Amino acid sequence: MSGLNKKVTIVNYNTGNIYNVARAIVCAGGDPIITADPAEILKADRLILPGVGAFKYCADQLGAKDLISILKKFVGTERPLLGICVGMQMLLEGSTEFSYTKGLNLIPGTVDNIKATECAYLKIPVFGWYKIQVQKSGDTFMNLEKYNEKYFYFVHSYRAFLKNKTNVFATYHAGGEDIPAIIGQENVMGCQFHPEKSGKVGIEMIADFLNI
Amino acid sequence: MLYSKNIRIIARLDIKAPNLIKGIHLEGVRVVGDPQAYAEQYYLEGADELLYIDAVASLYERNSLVEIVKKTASKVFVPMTVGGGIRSSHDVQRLLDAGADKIAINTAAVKNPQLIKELSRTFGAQCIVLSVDAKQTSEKTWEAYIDGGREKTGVDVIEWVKMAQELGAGEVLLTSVDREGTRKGFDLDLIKQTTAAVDIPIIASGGMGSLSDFDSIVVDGGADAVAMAHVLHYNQISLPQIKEHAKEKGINVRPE
Repeated sequence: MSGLNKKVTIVNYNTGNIYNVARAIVCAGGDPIITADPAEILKADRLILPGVGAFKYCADQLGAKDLISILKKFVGTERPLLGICVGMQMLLEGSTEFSYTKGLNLIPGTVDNIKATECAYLKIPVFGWYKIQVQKSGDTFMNLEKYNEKYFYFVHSYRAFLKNKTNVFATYHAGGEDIPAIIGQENVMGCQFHPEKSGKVGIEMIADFLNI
Repeated sequence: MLYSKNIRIIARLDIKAPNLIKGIHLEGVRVVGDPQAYAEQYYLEGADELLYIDAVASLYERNSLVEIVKKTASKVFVPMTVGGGIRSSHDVQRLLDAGADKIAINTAAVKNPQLIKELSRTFGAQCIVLSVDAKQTSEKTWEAYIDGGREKTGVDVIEWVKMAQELGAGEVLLTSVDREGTRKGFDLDLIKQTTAAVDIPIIASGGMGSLSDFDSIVVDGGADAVAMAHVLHYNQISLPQIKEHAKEKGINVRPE
């Protein structure tokens, strides 16, 4: 537990809507710190990794700022890390978007096009409000049950394929498939949707993260 | 559920900074009030997205729009689309930094269609909404208007949206110039033709007057989202009412 402070550090690596995330944190009662500085990141009480756009671009930017090993080191401290959208996808081993790009390899699995499965009629990118189904799997550092059947805002063309079901904390149903909506392992969690754009329920989830 | 696609209900706010305004047929303007107050109210009442359109769209007034977006973004946490006078990547970046999630372009795109491609490449297709103001010219044809619905272009709406999809637009905001502000219902033919022509989502805007308008535009028209202004600003229909009504009709919408 990080104690009573509500500080959360947002990794700034030239991508992602960091200001929207920061505003949502303020609304949830938190204290956002936006930084790319490795020392600041390492001493964060909680860390958020945002990410929007192409996986390869995001991963390259992380590499360019020498943040990959820093993030892995942070995870080793057992303090909580939350990945959002492409930030979630980067928690996995890698992505096939544009040829294979390595991720942070914190959770076993890969990222591939949503259309890699059979959902023919799904328009890509998938975007809009979808309700999530919380799974009974794994232990999580947040109580997710109350978010079962709640609507969150998704926008993505690529999705996570997890090796272990226990790492899938919630899914959403689109194109005949159950697509991972929340994934995690120990102190690392990721959401495919944008909690900072999911209205009151998203703010609530961020507030829960501030309490860890 | 009768109809399984998730339909988005969008509150549309036309701005003549610093005011929220309402027009009829895209001209003749009435001040409604403080845009941020309305935006926040609609957010709390369950709007799935907000749409800000700058009706003046002059180069000199850009800062006011950015300020409105910034202030709204600190209180509203659903996707926000901003349009009106966007001409360049720089304009887009400023608005995204202020808190917009998507931007809508019309005039600049008609004058230079390659702009769609450029913006889509830089910011992603999901960020780029093509805004089309459509005026009926014959039984089955509509012409695109620019410059706040004032100038005709000779461009066929259906051909235009097809081209925009090719160039990388992620969505189409389709406003019926004939119906806008009239509350006489949407232009169903216009929507039907457009949804049949492209795969990208269509937001229907212009003419919502009653709850049954909502059903027809979604179920018959095939719209993916419905934008409304007049009925909301003048308190004729509320967002919770629309959602309740949608639920009764078996149309999938976000409940709260």
